[in-house]
Amino acid sequence: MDGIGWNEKLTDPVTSVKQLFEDPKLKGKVGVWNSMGDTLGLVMLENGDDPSHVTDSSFNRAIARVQKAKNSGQIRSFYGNDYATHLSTGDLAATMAWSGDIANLADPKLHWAVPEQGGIIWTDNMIIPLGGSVPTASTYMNFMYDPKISAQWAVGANYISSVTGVKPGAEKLDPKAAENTLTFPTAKTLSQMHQNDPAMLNNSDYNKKWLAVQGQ
Amino acid sequence: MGGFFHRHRGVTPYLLLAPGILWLGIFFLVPMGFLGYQSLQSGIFPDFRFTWEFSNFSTALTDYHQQLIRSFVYAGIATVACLLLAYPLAYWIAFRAGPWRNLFLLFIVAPFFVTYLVRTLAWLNILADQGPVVRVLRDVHILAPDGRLLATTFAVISGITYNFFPFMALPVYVSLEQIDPRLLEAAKDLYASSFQAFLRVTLPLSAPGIVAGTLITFIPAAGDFINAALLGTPNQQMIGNVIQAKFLESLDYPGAASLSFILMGTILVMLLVYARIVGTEKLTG
Repeated sequence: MDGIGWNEKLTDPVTSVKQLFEDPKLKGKVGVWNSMGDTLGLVMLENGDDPSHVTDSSFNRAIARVQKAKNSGQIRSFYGNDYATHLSTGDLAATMAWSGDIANLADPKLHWAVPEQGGIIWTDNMIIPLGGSVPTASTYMNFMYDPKISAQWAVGANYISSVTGVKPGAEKLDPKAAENTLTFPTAKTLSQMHQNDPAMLNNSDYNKKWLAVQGQ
Repeated sequence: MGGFFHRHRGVTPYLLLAPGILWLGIFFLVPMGFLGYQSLQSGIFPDFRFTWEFSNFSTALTDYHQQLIRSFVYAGIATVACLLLAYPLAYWIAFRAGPWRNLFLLFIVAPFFVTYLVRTLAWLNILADQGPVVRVLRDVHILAPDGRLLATTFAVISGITYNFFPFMALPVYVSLEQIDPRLLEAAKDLYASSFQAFLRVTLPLSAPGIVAGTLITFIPAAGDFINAALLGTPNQQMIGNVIQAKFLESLDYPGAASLSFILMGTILVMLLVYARIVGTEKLTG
């Protein structure tokens, strides 16, 4: 899940992209992702736009908002997974954050929340390359989609499993881990989630504009 | 064998050159040719076509001149900083360190025992906002209470200076170490002060080391991207970061290839100007 993480030693709870981008107390201590879909998805929700159906105007509105926050010095930088350590060490007070990364750090001073205007949910996908052995790959996929196996995976990786019926298995393995709502989110949290528009991610003009905001 | 070389005396130099030429051909000319070919392509990944697209170069220059200029400015400042730091150190090791000479040389080379990336990552902790260095600088009011070192131009240039320092220190040391101390004695015999002896004897004799050091520091520093990526922000992105993003993120191979050529070409022109100013005999030692 895409949401907002913050370090309680450095800031009060940060629960909206507006706060992340405009609160003067966070100036220079805000991180965003360098991946376009995740960052702009949250900004589009903040703008009241639909991230699953991106238009040129909703894209431009979102990117202008990021550009403004970057130019004002509010955004410190654009990060890959390395934002998590910066949040932990205190270089960042608040940042766009993946639920699983915050769960993995298990740092009591770090918190994660779904932004008020909603979050983004995504999946990592398995692909069989052309010429790959379909039976072998399918066997592996079926293995990974077995609820018992997926429960082990979810407890280990701290990311949400896409397989239904995983929680009972996780409760048996590690009852405390199964209580973690970052890995096993509530129905309410899931209802606040939206998806990205794949067409946006594959648009080379958008990608170019996105890199330009990052000085690339 | 000896007989063969004797009988074919004319061919021998070419045979000796062959491995080097082969190496240059395979590992320099072929990739360069391919990069040049790629820089004139057009289209969208993975369907690039060769269309003599010279506009890739003008577009690259228009869009990224800022990062290009920034790269040369950062590399230039870092090179000067390296020289100012390395020269006194190399001088001291060459003339004053006595039996400890090798130990101090080892200290200069020691960072190379750790990979470049890890060395740079270490600075993330050293310069962290809540780390001891920033805290002390804030306490003594060198930094504002909300001031920082990380994610600044200062951090990026310092990172480059730190990482390329041995490239400057070693050639300067080698040229200083070769100076015959009797020349300095002779200068003093001729009533030169220590400063004059340094200015008229030591400095000119160490010039080949300085020139070599500046080149092997400046050239890779201008194409560096690790320091800006880890220690900087979008405001410190260098041309290396743009090329990396074009090759690996936006998959704009022609754009990345044309930028690589612009970078190489600019460095080559700078090198020629530098050679003209300092003289080619210093360039080759």
